[in-house]
Amino acid sequence: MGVGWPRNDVSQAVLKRKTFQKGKVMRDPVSKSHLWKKPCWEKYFRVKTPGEAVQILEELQGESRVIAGGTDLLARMRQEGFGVKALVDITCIPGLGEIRSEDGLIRLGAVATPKDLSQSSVLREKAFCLAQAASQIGTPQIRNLGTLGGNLCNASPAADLAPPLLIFEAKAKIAGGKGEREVPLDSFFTGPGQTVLNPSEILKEIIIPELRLDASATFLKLGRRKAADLALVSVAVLLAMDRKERTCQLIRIGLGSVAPTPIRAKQAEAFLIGRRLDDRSIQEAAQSAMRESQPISDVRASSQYRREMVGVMVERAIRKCLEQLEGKDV
Amino acid sequence: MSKSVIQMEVNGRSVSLEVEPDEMLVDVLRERMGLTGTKVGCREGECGVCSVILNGKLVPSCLIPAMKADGGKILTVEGLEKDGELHPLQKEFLNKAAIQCGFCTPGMLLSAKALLDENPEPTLNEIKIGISGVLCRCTGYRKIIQAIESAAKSVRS
Amino acid sequence: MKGEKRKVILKEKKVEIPLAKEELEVVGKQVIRKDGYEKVTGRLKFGADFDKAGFLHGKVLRSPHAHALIKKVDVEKAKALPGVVAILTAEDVPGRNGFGAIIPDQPVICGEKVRFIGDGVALVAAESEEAAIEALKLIDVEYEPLSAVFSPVEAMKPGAPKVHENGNLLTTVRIRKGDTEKGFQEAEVIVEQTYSLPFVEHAYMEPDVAMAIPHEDGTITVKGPMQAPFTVRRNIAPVLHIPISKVQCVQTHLGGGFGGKEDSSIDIGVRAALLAWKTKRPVRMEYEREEVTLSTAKRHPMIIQCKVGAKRDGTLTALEGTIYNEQGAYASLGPIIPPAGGTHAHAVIMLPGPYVIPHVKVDGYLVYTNHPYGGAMRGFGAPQVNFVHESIIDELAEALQMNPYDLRMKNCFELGSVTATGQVLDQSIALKETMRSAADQFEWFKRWRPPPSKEEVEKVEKRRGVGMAIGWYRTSIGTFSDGCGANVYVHEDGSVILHTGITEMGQGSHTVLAQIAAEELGVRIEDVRIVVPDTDIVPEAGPTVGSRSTTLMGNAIIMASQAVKASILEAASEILGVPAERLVARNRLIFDRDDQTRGVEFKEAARRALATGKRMMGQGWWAPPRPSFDVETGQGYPYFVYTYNTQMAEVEVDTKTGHVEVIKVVACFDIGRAINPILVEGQIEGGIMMGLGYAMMEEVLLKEGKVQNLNFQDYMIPTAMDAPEIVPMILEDPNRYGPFGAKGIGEMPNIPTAPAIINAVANAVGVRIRDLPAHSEKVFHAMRGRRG
Repeated sequence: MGVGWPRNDVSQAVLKRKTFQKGKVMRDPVSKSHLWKKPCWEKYFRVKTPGEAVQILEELQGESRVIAGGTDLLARMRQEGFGVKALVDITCIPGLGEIRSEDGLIRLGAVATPKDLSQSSVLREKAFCLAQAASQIGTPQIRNLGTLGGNLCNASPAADLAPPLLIFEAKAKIAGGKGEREVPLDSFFTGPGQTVLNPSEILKEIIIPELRLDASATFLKLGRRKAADLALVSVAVLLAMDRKERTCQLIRIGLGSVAPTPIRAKQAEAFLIGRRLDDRSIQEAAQSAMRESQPISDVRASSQYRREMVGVMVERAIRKCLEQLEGKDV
Repeated sequence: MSKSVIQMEVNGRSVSLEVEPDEMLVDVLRERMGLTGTKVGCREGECGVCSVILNGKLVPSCLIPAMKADGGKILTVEGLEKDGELHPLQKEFLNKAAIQCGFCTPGMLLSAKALLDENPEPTLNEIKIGISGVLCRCTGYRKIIQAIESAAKSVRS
Repeated sequence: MKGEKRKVILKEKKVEIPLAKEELEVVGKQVIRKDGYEKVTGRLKFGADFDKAGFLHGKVLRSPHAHALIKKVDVEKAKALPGVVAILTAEDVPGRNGFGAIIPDQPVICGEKVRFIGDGVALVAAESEEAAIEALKLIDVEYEPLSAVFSPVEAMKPGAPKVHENGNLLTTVRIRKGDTEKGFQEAEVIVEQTYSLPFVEHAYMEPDVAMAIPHEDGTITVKGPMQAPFTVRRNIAPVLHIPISKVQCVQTHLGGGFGGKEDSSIDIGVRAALLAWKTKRPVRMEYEREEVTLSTAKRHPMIIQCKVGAKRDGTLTALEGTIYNEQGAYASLGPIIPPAGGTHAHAVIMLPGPYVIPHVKVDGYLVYTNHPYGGAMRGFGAPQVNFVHESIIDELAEALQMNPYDLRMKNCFELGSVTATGQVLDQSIALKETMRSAADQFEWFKRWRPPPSKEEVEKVEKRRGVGMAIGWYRTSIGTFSDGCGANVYVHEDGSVILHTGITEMGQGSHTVLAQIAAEELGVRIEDVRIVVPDTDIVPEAGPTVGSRSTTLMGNAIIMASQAVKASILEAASEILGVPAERLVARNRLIFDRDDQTRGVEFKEAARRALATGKRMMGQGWWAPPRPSFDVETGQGYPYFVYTYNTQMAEVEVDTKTGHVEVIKVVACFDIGRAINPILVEGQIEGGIMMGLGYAMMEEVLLKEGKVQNLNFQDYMIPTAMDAPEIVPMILEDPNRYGPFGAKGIGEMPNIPTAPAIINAVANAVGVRIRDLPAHSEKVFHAMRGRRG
């Protein structure tokens, strides 16, 4: 029969299975798969300082979780039916949601919401593609409630804010019992749902440089629906070129939803750097990015389609950056 | 489990309630305060019928622990009508037949309210974005959009 | 003359049709919906909004196996859990352990075996929801898995696992008209294709809920969002082994139904009732969103082979079709209700489309599998077959190098046409007019171009295209028991109560029916109050399905109104000294037709009517002309009247990603008469959006029988951002048998949208999607395939 769509090709999303090892899984995934439970916890702390958060997390080693917006966490707790001893709400820590620009650096507080990011005049001026990405997350409700830190710490391969932050070579500032540390964002993610954070650490801040005046950056997201959808593929590109020679001086390509973590397409970048930006080189770079991606098949799309779309979206993003550069008077 | 007392201002009225640490705002509103205009459709923030305005922002009340709303100002659909007078959005939803089954209506009204509070002259696309977090299976959205356009005019004038 | 009956003869049977008056005060007006105020203020109580105090919480333990024998159910541990009041297994069902809208083949609690993932294996009632969930985890069920079957084609093969004892083939329906062999010999062009349609979820926003309250006198009340309270009642009584008179079903306003709550309200209602009956305490059940998707009925998936032949000039000569209609685990609304009721018969009857075709042969097989089950969903088998005939007509047009509009215009129904079942369409048929009006509005002839070549597609990143589809849809359900009754009570102050069993699920029935009553009585819309359907009070109305409410119930209401109005006019006649025949009631006044200065207030007459002992209640019953249909030959008059529709869509396709954006949909309907035009528009717009979802994104994904996309993140329906520009258009070619000329509108708008969009995609990029939905990836692969 002419049933074209590969129904049997659909495998469980990696996301749902492996995200949380912590917390007690209370249902047997096969026999009780139809139970959904309101998420439960015994204590809810609204802390006022990062230190207070860290202290509680340390006391309840592994049995508590940080909650910011909770949009991802609570939905997953319900789906997976696990409970925890305590939730530590960090959204009341003064200043943790601020977006500031100083000395050529932009500091983004971990609990800034996507809405804050999308409306921030600092970002609109100095890192517009991040504001763009933030405005395409979820729904207006989720953009009001979710946070930058949540988007990153949940470490979904589809996190919309990750690709634009990767191309800015963002650094994550982490607070823990032994003080603070800074980790480059590209080593922050260690797997689907996994980061370098240990159970008693919190993400405090993301730091990015301002976009160079001679560079441009853009973000593109491909979903199945026009709103309220997870990315099938998301791409962020940062580009600077020698205007006379039209050669590529700087290129960074961030990809979402196409690997166990958000990634940089470094081979594609290496290929393009120093080359003349023409149809052929752009297409070859896009091909290279396709090869670097390792997407999965899930209910949303097949790995083959996602890989193909990496090529299309990378090419489009580079062209868009080029257009922007050509429109710039430098 | 130890209960805590939270203070909220709901529809202009101060309330003080003892809640469980893991009670959700939507359940507090519906079960404890009888404000059943706020609906439950999915409990995962995907359908938007539980939307309320918390501290001026549209949020899904099914994803908000009640403790998080402590000290907050909340507007639910029941608070739109003032002194027996319907809000212009409510009037236009009636006039333009923007309601069918009515299950998404509270979420739609509050989405529209949040939108117009921030942007009194929204474009068609801005209206669509503004209500994109509430699913409606009945209306096809057209009459809802028309009602918001027309309410925006009447709010401005 | 008002109050008179017109004798109409239709196919050997005389039917009495109430004659409507001519100048209208309330009908045809954009009256604000009666439940609007309660809905915009959040005051309206849906099922889940009623106080939960005093109710036990009911839950269903569901099967994780698609097909398995139940070897043992151990409930001891669960029973011992504090807070648990009852755990029920199959032995605990006092009466018939089965329910179903047509055949009671679905166990209330499975005893011997389970037939799909989600089947109910035990029921729990507990003092708290948490205890009920914990109890579910403690019930120990031993299964012996059986091999399962997941495709209707496989299930029909000899040796396939048997889902039910009597085999997997549930029903066969055929159409035999003329001689298709001869028809294809006469044809100069033949197109043959296979199409497939997925399971689709109703995705009503309100999850199912039921409250069951047992009473001391051995009766029981069940409340909840029921699309068909009488069907729920008909199922509860035998399960509890009590007479129907002891079961009361009370409807709460539905937060959307779309056919789904015809079935699901039986499922949850019967189970809640059983728990309440056994525990002797009120029980409340609520299904989680995922549970609704997992376990309740869906739109039937179908695989359909179709072949059409035509002369060079486009004249159709023959059509053959084979439908493999997947019923899933239980019969639900699939099988035949004599003579032409049920989804399957309807699909077969509709497959040839609204076209005059001399030779037609259709074989439709309805087959059990171990998937969730198909039921009623807006269009009841028609969206699937409409997609097929409207796709293949476009494919034929392409083969003939004709404009698809011209091919349709050449062959489609008009007054006097004979359908594939041999029915003569002798009235209320403005299909061609809907095509002309839609084409004018859409500028079809300016915008349609033949589909592009490969090279043309590859040149650009985005390409636009246009497509159209036409359709017809019945009013009524084609069964012998399609009757419905209404009571109209007039009170001494002139206010009116209307008893109707038609349910309000958002479509606006209660407003429209109140308009009809107000118009006929001569009062204002605000004078009429509709009582929420309560099977103890309202006359049997049948289900709120089949786009039948306005027309069938409307007639019953007119008859009921006329009966009670006779008393009021008689009283007015006594007051005014004018013969009752000369009196006219309008806008709360009754006056002399010949001398309009002489009149009396309606309420004054009502007061006198009561004081003088006249009848203050009228009852009306109406059933459509008796249907006929032979399942072997497919000949007969299955439905008494049809609504007609043309839809035109413009899309933009991203040639690199396959993403389709619907830009605009123009839709024109012949609905006989719009009782409330703005509500009709609402039905049109909502139906089109649901059709857009069917075309582009909706599909219940199954893997080894298990639903993969249970929530709204994975099962996508259109958001406001996906909404195209929609232009709804209404034409009125009055239906001789309808109140004020009306016919149904609820389902029709949902039907031709998907093929119109898919035809537009083919027109834009030259690839044809024959299996829905046409999501980006599928369109992408199709374009890639064309590139070779």
